[in-house]
Amino acid sequence: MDAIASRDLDLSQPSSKTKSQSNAPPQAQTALSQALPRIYGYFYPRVGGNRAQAEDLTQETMLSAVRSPKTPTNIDELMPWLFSIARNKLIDHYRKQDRERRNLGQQVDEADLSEQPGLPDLDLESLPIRDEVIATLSELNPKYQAAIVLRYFDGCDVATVAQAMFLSESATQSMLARARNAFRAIWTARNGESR
Amino acid sequence: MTQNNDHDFQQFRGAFDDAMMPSNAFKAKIEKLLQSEQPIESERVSTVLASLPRKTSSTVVPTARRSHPLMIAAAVITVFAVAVASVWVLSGNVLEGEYAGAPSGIATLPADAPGTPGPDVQLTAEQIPAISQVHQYLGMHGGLLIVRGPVDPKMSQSSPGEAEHSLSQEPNVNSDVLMAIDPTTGGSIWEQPFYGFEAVGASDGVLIGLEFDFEVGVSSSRPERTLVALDLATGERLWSADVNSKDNWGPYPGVVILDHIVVEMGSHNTLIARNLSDGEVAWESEFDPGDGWLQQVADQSGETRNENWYSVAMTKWNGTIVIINGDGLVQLIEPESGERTTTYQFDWTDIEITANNHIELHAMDDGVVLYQLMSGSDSMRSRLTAFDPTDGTYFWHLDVDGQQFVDLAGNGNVALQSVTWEPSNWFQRLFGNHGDSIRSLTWINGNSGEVRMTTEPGVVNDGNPGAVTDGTYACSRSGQSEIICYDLNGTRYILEIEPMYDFDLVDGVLYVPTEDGMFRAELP
Repeated sequence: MDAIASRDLDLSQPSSKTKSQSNAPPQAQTALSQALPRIYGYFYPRVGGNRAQAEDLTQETMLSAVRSPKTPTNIDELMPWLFSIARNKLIDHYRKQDRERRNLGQQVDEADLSEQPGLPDLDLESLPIRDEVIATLSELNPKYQAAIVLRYFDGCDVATVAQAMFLSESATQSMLARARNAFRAIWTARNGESR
Repeated sequence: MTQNNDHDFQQFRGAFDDAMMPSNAFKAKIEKLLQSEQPIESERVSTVLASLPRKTSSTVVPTARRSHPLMIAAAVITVFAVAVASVWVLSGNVLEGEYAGAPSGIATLPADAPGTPGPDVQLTAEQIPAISQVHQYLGMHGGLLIVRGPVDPKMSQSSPGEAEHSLSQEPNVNSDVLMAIDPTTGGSIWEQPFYGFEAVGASDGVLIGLEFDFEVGVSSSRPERTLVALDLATGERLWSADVNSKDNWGPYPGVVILDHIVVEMGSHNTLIARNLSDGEVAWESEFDPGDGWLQQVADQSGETRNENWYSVAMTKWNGTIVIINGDGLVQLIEPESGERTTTYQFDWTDIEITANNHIELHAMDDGVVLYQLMSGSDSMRSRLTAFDPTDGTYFWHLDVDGQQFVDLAGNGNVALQSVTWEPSNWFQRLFGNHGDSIRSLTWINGNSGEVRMTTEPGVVNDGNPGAVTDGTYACSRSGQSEIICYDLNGTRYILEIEPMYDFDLVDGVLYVPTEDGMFRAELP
């Protein structure tokens, strides 16, 4: 897995490399250019640190945005709009991965519902800890990844997660419980119970 | 300490939302994309698609045709003897699956049976006077017959039916006209110069079609197309819009018309809705085309390139747009806003679908019928599935050998002509050539899957296959110059007519374009 790049970015001044000749409306183009690190940063942890997948999803999001007639030019309006597109792309990505697993005949591991050691309080400001969370996420199957990301990374309520995953709310609750157990089990195997 | 609540996961909220700088190469790629607003070909996407395991053609259950290698003369004789002596299982064109079975009282009717439940009825055709020569019949739209014909039949040098298919001729907008004909009186309503027009449908007094020019010499490419709206009363052009669909989508032309809008499948997973009245974009939306596959195509210079191919079908049902892709994902689109309101996934793991399967969606009052053609290396197999598009509830499905040509009436009657191929001599058997075209006509109750009627397969090598139904009659061609229709009693209606290009059935009337003009024949 690639190491995480710098997390602290000054977005007030676009780099000289972003200033260029453009045929597109300059305001929209500048706003989208400024939004690139935010969108890439959204996808990278959510696809388990897979840089290629993060780039593909970022490009798809930017394509949708630049070709839409409704692209906001104000950065404050742009970001929520872009993130809604990005989340839809992410959901489609999880579905596609799940389809591929089924088409290839890969068995979906169903974690049990018995209690697992809980995660300790983590120092998520620490880059190695963040890397470890992302690595653990990458070992989950796509359905569990989707459940954990939507519910706990993005803060979606259970109803929203259910809709995205084509499940009833009760089935979603069960899915979330299994996903949490699977995550905890992998975390413990990788790090022990104390970290 | 163990736990099964989620308190330990709450700490992740907001912790993974920070900006992150991608690689310089990717940044430059996105900057270029933003400047040009052109899609940048993603090598990585192509690589991913190419590396996906192809669903192989050998997984389709073949009909038992055997081909043997040709080695030496003695071996050839031996192989021939073996081939002739081997068990040769013919495709029985058997309908199987979850259906009620042929109801009693409706006999299986041989195509040439002398006796039927009712006497054969010979139909008589009369010529529609306004049309002396037809290049292409474009259907009944908005109550008018739409036909393309020559400006002056004497000036037309090409044989009827060839002009629109010839890639060696330059399109000549002055050589053809589009005509609207009153089907009752046979009188001309209007004429407009056009070439390469394909009518899609009509609504609100607007005729929607696709005007196109073929890119001469380029194989496997879609022609450049323009979406055109004509005033149905006068034929005058109201507006036109480029159809930007370089991707190869499944449904062609990939356009549906709803009350006040026309929705088109464009490039890059985009649906574009335009007002019928002025062509202005009402909304744009995205859909999931599925994984698709890459296909190499050659252009005129001999250079090859990869093209993205997808299997996608679209229809309108109960005021909603229904889309299904080759992976079995159904998407319902709300026509006022383009919002994707419902999605669900069919499990097609029991279907051995090759990379080039073809799918169609047909709408009836109570649901839709999905047609899937599964092509193997030496066989074809089809599946028809009827379901409720609101939630995917299955009504029935049928599996049948061969390719099917499907038509569906609003009252749920489904007509399909089955086509399989059988070698007619030892040479064809030896080398696995197609041979004769074996066809039969089947009529199905679309709501229950009950087979109402099916004819015994017969050899029909002339004329394009196809079936039409208006819910009362089901018709198909039995040769270059004959159409046979059946009603629900099994009575057979026969129309013999000069070599025809095509035919249509609208409200109990057959419309038949021929070399000598346009004809109509009423069914009783």
